[in-house]
Amino acid sequence: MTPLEQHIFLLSGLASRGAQPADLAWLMVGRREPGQRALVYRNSGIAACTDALRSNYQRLARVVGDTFFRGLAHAYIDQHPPVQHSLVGYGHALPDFIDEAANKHGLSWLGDFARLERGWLRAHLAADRALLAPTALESLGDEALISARISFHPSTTLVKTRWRLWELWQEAGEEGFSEAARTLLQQDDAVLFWRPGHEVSARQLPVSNTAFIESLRNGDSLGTACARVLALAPGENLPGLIAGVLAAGFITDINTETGDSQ
Amino acid sequence: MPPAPSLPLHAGLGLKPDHYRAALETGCDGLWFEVHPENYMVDGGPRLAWLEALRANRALSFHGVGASLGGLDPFNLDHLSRLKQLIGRYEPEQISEHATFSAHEGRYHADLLPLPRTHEALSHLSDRIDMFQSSLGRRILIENPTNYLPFTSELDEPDFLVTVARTSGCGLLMDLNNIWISAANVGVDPYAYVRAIPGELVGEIHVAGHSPDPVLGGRFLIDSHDEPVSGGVWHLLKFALERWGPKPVLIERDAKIPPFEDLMSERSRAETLILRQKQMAHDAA
Repeated sequence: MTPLEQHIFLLSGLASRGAQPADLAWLMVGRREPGQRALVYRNSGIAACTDALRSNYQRLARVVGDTFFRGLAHAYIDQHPPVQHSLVGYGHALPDFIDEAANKHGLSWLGDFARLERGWLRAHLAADRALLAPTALESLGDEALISARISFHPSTTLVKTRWRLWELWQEAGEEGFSEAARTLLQQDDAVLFWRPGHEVSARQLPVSNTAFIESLRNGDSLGTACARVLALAPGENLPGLIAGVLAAGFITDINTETGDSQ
Repeated sequence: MPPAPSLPLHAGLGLKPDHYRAALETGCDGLWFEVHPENYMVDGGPRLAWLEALRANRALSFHGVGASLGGLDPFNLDHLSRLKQLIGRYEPEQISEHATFSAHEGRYHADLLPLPRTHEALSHLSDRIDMFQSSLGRRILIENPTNYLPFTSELDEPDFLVTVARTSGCGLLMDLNNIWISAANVGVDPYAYVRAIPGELVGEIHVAGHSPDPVLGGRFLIDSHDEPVSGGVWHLLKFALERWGPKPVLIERDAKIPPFEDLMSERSRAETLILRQKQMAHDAA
């Protein structure tokens, strides 16, 4: 190793907890141990990553409180240090990381809560694309409508959870949120995030609507997606469901070419 | 390297998301903005739209923190490609980076780590800046680092930076707060430092606030950017502008963000100092 390589190796080691301040003595004037001052080269990076995680998981940070969040962030940074040279989307593995540590913190719903945060962030940062006018389907005949395939805005993100967290997630976004104890239901749930303009919209979806959106996103035709809904909920108001999807503002294109395999 | 467009000889502000609307609405003459391009390395969404709206009426500076110019890893291709896309879209008047490294063996440290001031590092950094500038097709400025520890060195910092600039063809972004902190932490003379930098290499000046280390106290200063610019740094700015002539000056603030008006009043103080130098340069001509 050249002296430059040695310097970068040791300082990187200090920053990532692989080396201690005393190991830097070799690089110092008079080979003096730098003591606690050297920790600034570790703490600054950890602080930047913690701030990025707090910014990307604002509601999670409010729900668990600062001490818990800081501990969680530090453990995550140790296990999943940033690789990209930008912290904008840092923390993509945090929901799974929280789940894996569920036996330590005992909050088995927390990973799903983080998934909702991630869904919001994904919608917030997704590419821009022009939306189709809600009236676009009006000119289609019945047959074309049945075979139509829908393209969704890149921000459209469906998050499925094993807990019902929608109410808590909404409350945590409000000013003056308090960490008072709540009862959470272990119940399958789904929330759709999308960004029709510059603001992210979020909506809790009933099971039948979730199946409808998932089917369309898989490339199924409108007719196939409707059949899936009716299989789950025979009484579903299909015209209302379709109108709701069109009005929500996340459709960018409708392809009416035939070729439906169903 | 083609001559880059330059920032106006006025004071600018680091742009904060909390201030997007106020920044768009202010009618202040000469005000320009600086951003970390890394915060805009996204596919879409409101922050890109805000920056576009602001860019329509304001000069813009990209101050990168993620290139790891002094590092040993190859340049991060995703970072470089996104930076080029942003430069293509926003056409900033100026692009700057740091004379430091921030990644090693694939891990991004999210910090600006110092290089040793040796002839080996000088040659390495100059080559990397040359490659970076060639890749962007633009001349950049590099910023002097904050010093926290007395690393062994073969050159003093002004000599190191001036030689890197002359070798690679880059310019210098002189962060006076970093010099002030280095003075406290490793015992350099901030005024001698400024005197040793030729004004023609300086394309921009940064001033910011710092704070004492929470454990070690006021003898160890941290480059926290969470306070107003200190009295000492204002004095050093006045001295530097007298020495170097009028330059674009940026007020940096990255934490404990105050109302926009508070930053504008600090900006106005810097603007007054620049104007005085412009007037003197005009009178001398």
